[in-house]
This record gives sequence, C-alpha cells and structure tokens, in this order.
Amino acid sequence: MIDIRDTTFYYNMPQDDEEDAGRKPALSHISLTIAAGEFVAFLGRNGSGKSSLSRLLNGIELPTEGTVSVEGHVTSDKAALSAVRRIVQIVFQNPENQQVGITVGEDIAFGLSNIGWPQHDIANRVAWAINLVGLDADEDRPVSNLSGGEKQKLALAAVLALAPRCLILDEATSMLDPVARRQFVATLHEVRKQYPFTLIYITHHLEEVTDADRWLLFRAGKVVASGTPNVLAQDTRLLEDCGLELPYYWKLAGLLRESGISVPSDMNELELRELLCKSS
Amino acid sequence: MQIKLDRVSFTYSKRKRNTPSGPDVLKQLDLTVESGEMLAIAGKSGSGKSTFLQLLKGFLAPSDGAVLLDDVNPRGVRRPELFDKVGFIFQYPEHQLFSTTVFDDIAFGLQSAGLSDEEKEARVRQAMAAVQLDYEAFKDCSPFELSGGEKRRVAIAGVVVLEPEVLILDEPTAGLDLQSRRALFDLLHTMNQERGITVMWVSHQLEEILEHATRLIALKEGAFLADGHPHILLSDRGLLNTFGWEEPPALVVSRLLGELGAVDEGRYTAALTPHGASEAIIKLLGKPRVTV
Amino acid sequence: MAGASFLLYQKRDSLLERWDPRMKIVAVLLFGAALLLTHSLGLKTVQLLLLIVLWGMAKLSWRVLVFTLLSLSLFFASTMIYQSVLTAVPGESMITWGWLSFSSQGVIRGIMMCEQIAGIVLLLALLVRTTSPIILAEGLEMLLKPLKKWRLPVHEAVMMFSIALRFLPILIEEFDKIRKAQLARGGGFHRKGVSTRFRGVLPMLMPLFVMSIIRAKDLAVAMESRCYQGDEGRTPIRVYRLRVSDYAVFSFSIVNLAAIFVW
Repeated sequence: MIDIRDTTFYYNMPQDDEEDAGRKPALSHISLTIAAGEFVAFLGRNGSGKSSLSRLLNGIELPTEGTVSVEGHVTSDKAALSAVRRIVQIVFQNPENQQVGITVGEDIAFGLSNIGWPQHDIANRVAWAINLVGLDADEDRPVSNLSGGEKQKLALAAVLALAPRCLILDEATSMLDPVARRQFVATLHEVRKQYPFTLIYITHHLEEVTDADRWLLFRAGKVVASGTPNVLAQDTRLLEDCGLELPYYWKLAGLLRESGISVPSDMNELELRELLCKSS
Repeated sequence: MQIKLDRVSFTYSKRKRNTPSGPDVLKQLDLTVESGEMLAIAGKSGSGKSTFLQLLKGFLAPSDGAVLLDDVNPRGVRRPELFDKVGFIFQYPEHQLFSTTVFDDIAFGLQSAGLSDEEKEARVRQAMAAVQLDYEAFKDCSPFELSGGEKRRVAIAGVVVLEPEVLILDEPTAGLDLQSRRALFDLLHTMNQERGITVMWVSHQLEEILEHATRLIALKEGAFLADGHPHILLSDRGLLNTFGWEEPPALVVSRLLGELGAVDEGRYTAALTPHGASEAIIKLLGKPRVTV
Repeated sequence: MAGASFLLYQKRDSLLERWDPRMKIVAVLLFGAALLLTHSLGLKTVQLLLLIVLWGMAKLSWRVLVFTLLSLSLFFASTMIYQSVLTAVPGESMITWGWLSFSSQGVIRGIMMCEQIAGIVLLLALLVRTTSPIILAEGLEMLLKPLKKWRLPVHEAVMMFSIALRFLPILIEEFDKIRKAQLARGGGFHRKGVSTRFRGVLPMLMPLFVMSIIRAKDLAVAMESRCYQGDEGRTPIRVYRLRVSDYAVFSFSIVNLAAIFVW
C-alpha cells in the first residue's frame, strides 16, 4: 500500500555555505513498505524523524530525494496529490489546532466539502461519522465546549468521514489524560473492526501499541529496527536508547526470562497470576 | 514555607460563569502543605484544579476563606509580594520564552530587583546549575534553537532564579520524552532535597505519581476527594473507580506477592519496581531449572 | 474572557439564526444605509429600538447589550460635546445652562450621531452573533461571487476572515495565560513603575506572536491534509434556499430604506 524508496528529507534544502555544512536531514535514506491493513507503530524520541515521515506519506512534505508512493500514486506528482490525501489521512497532536469549524458538524463537513462530497449527503455523512466514534455531541455543539478527549474523537470522526484507507495518528493521544487516552484508543480499535484501514500509530507510549503488527524504531532520521513487538521488546537497551519504556509487565517478563523462568515476553497480569499460583 | 488553605471557596462571578471554559468552583477547601513535601495533584480538567493552583500563587482571590503563607494572609496584610515566594510553572512553559539568549530569558525576573551585573550572573549561574544546564555552553544560545527538554529547563530556570520556596508545576512532563522526563524529576528531587523546596505538581500519570510523590491529593468537582500517600490511595478500589483510573501494575504485583508471602510485611504496601518484583518471584519459585 | 464571548457565535435556536446568511448580510447593508441616510431623529430612534427588539428575538444576553453600549460611552460623550458645543452654527438657537451654552440643533445632531454609532455596532454584533462564521463566510462568498470574474481572491479572503473569528477566543485565552506566566516569573515587575512595567510588553507579545505562528502553521497543515485546496471542487456545506421569511426580511429592509425618503 505504501512504498518508500531510499527517501531523504530536509525541511530546508541545505545551501552550499559553511553554516549549513553540518546540518543533518530529518530523514536519511529510508526504504520501507507498509502493507494494506497493517497496524504499524512509529516509535522514537522527539526529532527522530517519525513525524516527518508521516508528513511525507500524505504529501504535506515532499521527499528531497527518493520517492514515496501510496497505492501506486507518487506523492511528488502534483496530479496525484489529491488522490493520495484521500487515501491517507492524519489526526494531529494538538486538539485545538486542527479544527476549522465552530461546531462539530461544520468541522466534519469542512473535509467533505473539500473533496466535493455530494451536497445532499453531507448531513447524513456528518451524522454517520459522529455516531461512528461515539461522540456524545450533536452536530450543533460548539467545538470550544468539547473536552480534549472529545476534540480528538471529533478529529478522528472528521478524517474517517473522508473514507481513508490509511490513517496516521501523529501523537494524537499525547495531550490527553490517561482516561481519555484509553477511551480514544478503545474507540479507534472498535472502529477498525468495522473498517479495517491501515493504521500508522506514532507515540512515545508503548502500552498503546502492544498489539501492533510491527514496531519501527526511529533514531536520528533512520529506522534502526523493525519487527514484531514481541521480538523488539527483548532489546531493552535499544528501546531505552530510542526513549521508550516497556510496560511494567513486559519489563518484569524480560527480567524473569533472563533468570531462566519461561514466561511469554508479552506477559499480562493473568499469566503472572497463573505462574505464581502454580508455585504455591 | 508552609502553605495553608483555610476553608477556601471560590466562585467565578456570574458573568464569567457563562464562558465556554465552564464553571470552576472550589468548595471550602482545607489543606496544609508543609515545607519540603513532594506533593502530586490529580484531577480532570474542570475539577477546579487550575483555579486551585492560581489561588496558591495569588492570581485569584478566594471568594471565601484565606490562603496563608507561613500563617500570613498576603491579601489580608496587603503584601502581594509574599506570593513571589511561590514559583509557578505553567504547562508547556517553553511557550513563554521570548529573548534572544538563554541568559536574558532567565534573568528577566531579576531586572526589577536592582541587582548588580555580578549578582545577576551569579543568580543565573545558580539557576542554570539547578536545572542542569551548563552555563558557559548555553548562556548565549537562542532559546528557540534548543531541544524540547532543554527549552523546558530554561523556562524552569527563569522561575528558579527568583529563589522560590515552593515550586508549583502544571503537568511538567507533558510532551517530553523518556530521558527528558527522568532528567526533569531528577532535578526536582535535587531541589527538593538540597534546598528544601516544596514541590507541588499536577500529573495525570499514575506511575509518575507513584514513583515521585510522597503525598497525593485528588480533586473532583471542586473538592479534595482524597489526601494521602499514593501507595494507599492508588490501590483504593473506590477511589480508582471514581476517577476512572487503573491500578498501577506495581501495586497489583506488590499486593499479589504480599498475599503469597513473597515479600516482607513491611513492604506489603510498597510499590515494587520490576527488579524488586522479579527478585521476589525468583525467590518464591525457587531456583529455576536452566532451560532457555 | 468577556471579550472572547463578545464576538462569538453561540447557538441559541433563535429565529434570526435560521435566516439565510446572504439575506442577513444584504439586510444589514440596507438597514445600515437607512440608518445613516435618514435625517429624522424620530426615525433613527425607531430603527434603534427595532434593533433592540431584534436583539431580544435573537435571545442574546441583555447584559452583553448593556456592556456593548457602555463600552461606547466615551465615544458618545465626545460626539455629544463635539456636536453640541464645538460645531454650533451661528444663528442656531442657543440654550444656556449655567456657564455652558450649546445649540439645541447641535444636541439633536449629537443624539442622531450617537444613535448611528450604536446602531451600526448593534447591527454588526447581531450579524456576527447570530451567524456561525462558516455560514457567514459561505454567505459572503456567494454574494461576492461576481468579483471572482476579476480574479479577486474572494474565497481566500472570506476563509481567512472566518478562521480569524474562530481563533480569536483561543488567542485571547492564550494571551491571558502568557501574561500570568510572565508575571509569575517577572519578579514583581508589574508592581513597579511605568518604565519597569514597560519591560513586560515584549515578554508578553513575543510569545503570543510565536504561538500564533505555530498555530497558524499547524492549522494550515491540518487543513491541507484534509484535502483543502482553495475553492476548487468544493461543495457548499449547506444548501441555501431563500424562504418566505427571508423575502420578508428583504422586503422589510427595502421598506425601511424607502421610509426615509417618504418621511
């Protein structure tokens, strides 16, 4: 579905003068493919390149070198850009800076209006999207009255209304409290059961992506590791290096495994209880 | 410095009650925070938390009751400068940076203090040391070119330079990565232990509260629902349900091991780190057969 | 905060909200023209009272109305002084009151002037507070459509206007936060003399400026990402069909305008 070939990206092209001599690209020589329907987590510290890559995927930024293509459309091809954006949608970090409408309905309608959605169906589609994410608000509710968690649900509804086949969450939960965060993640997975879109999840919190198909670890503009959570969880040093902390039970499992106790590396509370009960 | 809330209530005027941010009302709060505490404050937005913090800094006046700093009510005796001893660090404080150099930004609060250049430099040096920024390396940098974690430390230094006795932080680790979060708490603990500064911070992260706080107060609908040691509060079913929290795994595992007799009585209520827990489990299971 | 809610549209389910935005804009223009053109004190007063009735129909808060008018009081006072004392034409009947003497026609001119100012402000407030910015923008865009022929960026201008309205309250709130944050680390500069206080201006404006740019960038990226590409291929969010009530509003505005010539 997404194919990234030997892509290098600078936010500003380096000039041939001294000042720019040491400047590093935001991304350097990245090649990877993401299959349709996959759930991939982009992980790494701030400034490691994970967000930059997500912006290349729907053509907000274009690669300095290399190509990014989405279902065969190359993002640097101007004619294909609107097709790319209809396929790939992004929910951003700050709930306040991504809503255009004053009311919930207007905001969802903004995107629909942009892609020329048939006028007579806009109201239906808006209602559908609100219902899909379980937003407890009618379309006339002012956006400024929503809580942070509700605003992000609205952002989710607004992009899902456009029927994307790939959704990128760019630290979409980082400004939410844990309760709102859990609700948001639950909603997301609920929706994905009905509409199995490709999901790219960018985060600092590993516990949100324990069930991802694949983790990609970013460091200094490069992908330093790629693999299933199960496998990557064993390299705690690398994770630490990328600014990531394993969930408590996973950490405990790692330590137990080091001492020769056989537990799954993605152990949960229940499995720990069983282990302990067997012993006593 | 001791902070005391004596039956403090707060109501916005009727006109303001209609603003979109909604009502923020505090109901007869009583609280005493002793010098040198590490106090975490939890509560959703709209619980009155931000009003509560602004009362402590003197930005808002209580509708009823009084905020006492070392038993003095600064409003009562018309000495608002007493609130200067309370350092207040807003959420995302790096958004308030404005100067062309780190030095100027940190020294902003000293400008009206009538200090000599040497004294100023000494104070900035000290503040930068407190937030673990190298003076020579950073003083002439533009604050806008620093990394997120460094920016935040510059912003904190801008408050620390005024030598507050109490530091209030609103979600100090929001948006920081793991290393910056750890570094930040390292320096908060250092300030707390070495200078006896009271640290009060708002947090949503139960793990963070469990690890760093010696006391937790939980606010809901303008009242303190709980006040006590985080280990006890965060394993209280009723309280967890009220706030929609999940019990931190460290507490779950500690209790489980306590019930099985794998850890001493004294450590029963303590939160075990993964290391502590793994040691206890290994001891409980006996020497493992070497099969990997 | 009071300033933030002043310009903001809030849904109140009033009759005025259901009127077509195009017709509302046209009616505002016609009503404004009538208000400015009439030379009759009585007619101006009737028009002002009418606006106040509309304010009530729009279910807007009376407190805000009073607040709005009070905030103009300085304007009113200076207008009255200017018209009645300073611009008295020789030959006009003068009223002497203590050591003050002013022209009676001047007083009437002053009152009319004040009514005009109040009327225009109320008209605009009514329009903005009963119409959601997006709807207002769409209405304005449809009305200005002919200008597009001359390649005037009507759509862009209208979009900018509606986004500015949407972000105004956020920026006001942000300014309040920045102000407090700088006070918190200012070492009490705000309690000192004017020159020391003046030093606080840059620290308050600079971050607001920086944050506005960041917000604008974020929003631009979010809009572009949601397939926004100017007015190319857009469908209007709502269908606007003029209804009987809209024609009634229009007819009334015309009658109101005609009245000033007949009176």
